[in-house]
Amino acid sequence: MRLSLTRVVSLIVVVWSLVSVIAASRSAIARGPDPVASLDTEFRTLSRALPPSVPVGFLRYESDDDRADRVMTYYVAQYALAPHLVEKRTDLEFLIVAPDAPRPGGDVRLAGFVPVATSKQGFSVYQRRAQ
Amino acid sequence: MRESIALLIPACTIGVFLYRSVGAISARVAVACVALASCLGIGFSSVISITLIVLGIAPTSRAFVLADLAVWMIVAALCWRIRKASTPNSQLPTPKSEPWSWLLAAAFGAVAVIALAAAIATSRAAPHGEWDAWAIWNQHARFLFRGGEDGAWRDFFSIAWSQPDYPLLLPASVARVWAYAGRESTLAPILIAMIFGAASVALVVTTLGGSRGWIAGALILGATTFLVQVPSQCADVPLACFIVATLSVTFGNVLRTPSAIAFAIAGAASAMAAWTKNEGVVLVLLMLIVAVVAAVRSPANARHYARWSIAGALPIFIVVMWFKLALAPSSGLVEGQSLNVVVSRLLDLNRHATVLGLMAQHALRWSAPLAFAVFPIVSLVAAWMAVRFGGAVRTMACILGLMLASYYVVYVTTPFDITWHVTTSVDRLLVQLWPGLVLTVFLGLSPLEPRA
Repeated sequence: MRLSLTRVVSLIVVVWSLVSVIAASRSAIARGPDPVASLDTEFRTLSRALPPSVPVGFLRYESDDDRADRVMTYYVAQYALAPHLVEKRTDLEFLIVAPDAPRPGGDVRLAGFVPVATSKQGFSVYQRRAQ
Repeated sequence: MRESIALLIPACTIGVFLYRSVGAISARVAVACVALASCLGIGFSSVISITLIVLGIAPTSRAFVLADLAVWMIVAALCWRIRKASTPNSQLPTPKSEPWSWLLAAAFGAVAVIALAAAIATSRAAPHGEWDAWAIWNQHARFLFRGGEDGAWRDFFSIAWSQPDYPLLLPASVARVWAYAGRESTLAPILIAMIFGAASVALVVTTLGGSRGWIAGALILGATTFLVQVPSQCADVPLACFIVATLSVTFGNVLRTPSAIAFAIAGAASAMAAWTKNEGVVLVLLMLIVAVVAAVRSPANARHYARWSIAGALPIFIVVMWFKLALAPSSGLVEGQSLNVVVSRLLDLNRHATVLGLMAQHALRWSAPLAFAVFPIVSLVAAWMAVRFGGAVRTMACILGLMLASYYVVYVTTPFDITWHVTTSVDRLLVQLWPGLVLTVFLGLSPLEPRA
């Protein structure tokens, strides 16, 4: 069978496509577990401790608050707790605290708060003590 | 199961409409109609959903599903009453059937099956999608679904990092499917993402037909950056689908009938692009310019079709404008930007050099290492065809080129760090244009005469 230029190019495109999709499927199969799914589950267990329609605070990390994984944790907290607004403030009644966010040895930002719920991975809901 | 029902209802309704409008159809046109009905069904159902939510009917209530069903039943009844079109013009040419076409069809089938397997594997590994999917689109869907009863859904407009100005086609569609399912299933956004990915490829394959269709389909799927974006649950592939739907109906004659309804569908598809993502507004404006130029310069028929195209786009575009003016805050790209600032950035040659360099770098590496420079190469071929052949191919190439140019201008005038802005988004912007670009090139190669 004589191979015209069209057929050669077509063959190249098809073979390249096959190789590409096979490589893509191998990458997809080898992909590790998604941290978002587990974080979402963690925060959703905490939502039961929150009354509906109130904004919720999120304790900033003591250091490297803008590190990618810590930004992701905050964003997933908002994703999981919608339609609550989750804001990086401590002047609200409820506060979400990540396990490694408070200063070691006692964090003054948590003064006046008591923990009311904790997830398996150590994320907590703190509530401001009644005056 | 209930997620599938939620998606089938609008798809079947619009499918009935297309069948009654197009008339006797081949298998190829039938597949194109299924693709169009699926993506337009998702689009129109999102408009109904957001309307119900704004009226205070929460997706968590039974009334939401009943109201949605009632609307679609009325639409279906109206569609069925449309007089069935007569057989389309049999003189329209069809692609030559080549002896080795069956081999190409089999190869495309293998590529498509493996691509589907890759998309499913990715969805299982990341059921909430990629970063932008859960931080923006699915998060907005959760606000719409969970906050529908007391208006709390409007609170997401105050979350600046979640792009609250982004249109609501995807979030409203996901919330609607959750309403039918009775729960927040990750299957809902996954199914929607797969439908748009499959429809994008199907529209290109069916528009071209024959060997060229199979090769074009394989070329689209072989670009790994595009394939990775399909299950990402972001809005770039849906936007790509509406872009290619607009081009294939307007210029590719995918419905094989030059009827007013076809142009109305093209208009609706272009407006859906604007309801999907802000970049879609550029497509609507460009198609409006094409419609106006055609109406002014062309014979009476073209003016008639241009009017239908505008009529098809208008209802959805009104929804987009209402969302932008009445609900959404201003975009982070324009907030606080005075005209002086924008002009000064446009005149800054360093910014142009930076953006050009970054865009070129990413375009060359798009889908690398297996497909180094595939996007620039295909773009150059499209540009050459635009010059060589003119007509519909030139118009399509200009539309896609101007969309790319608009992205470039946004980057040059961005208030954000240029490197961050380009590197985190340009790959997805090229995904938006990819199926349309492949369609343009293969229409230039195709023996089928495209409608000018």
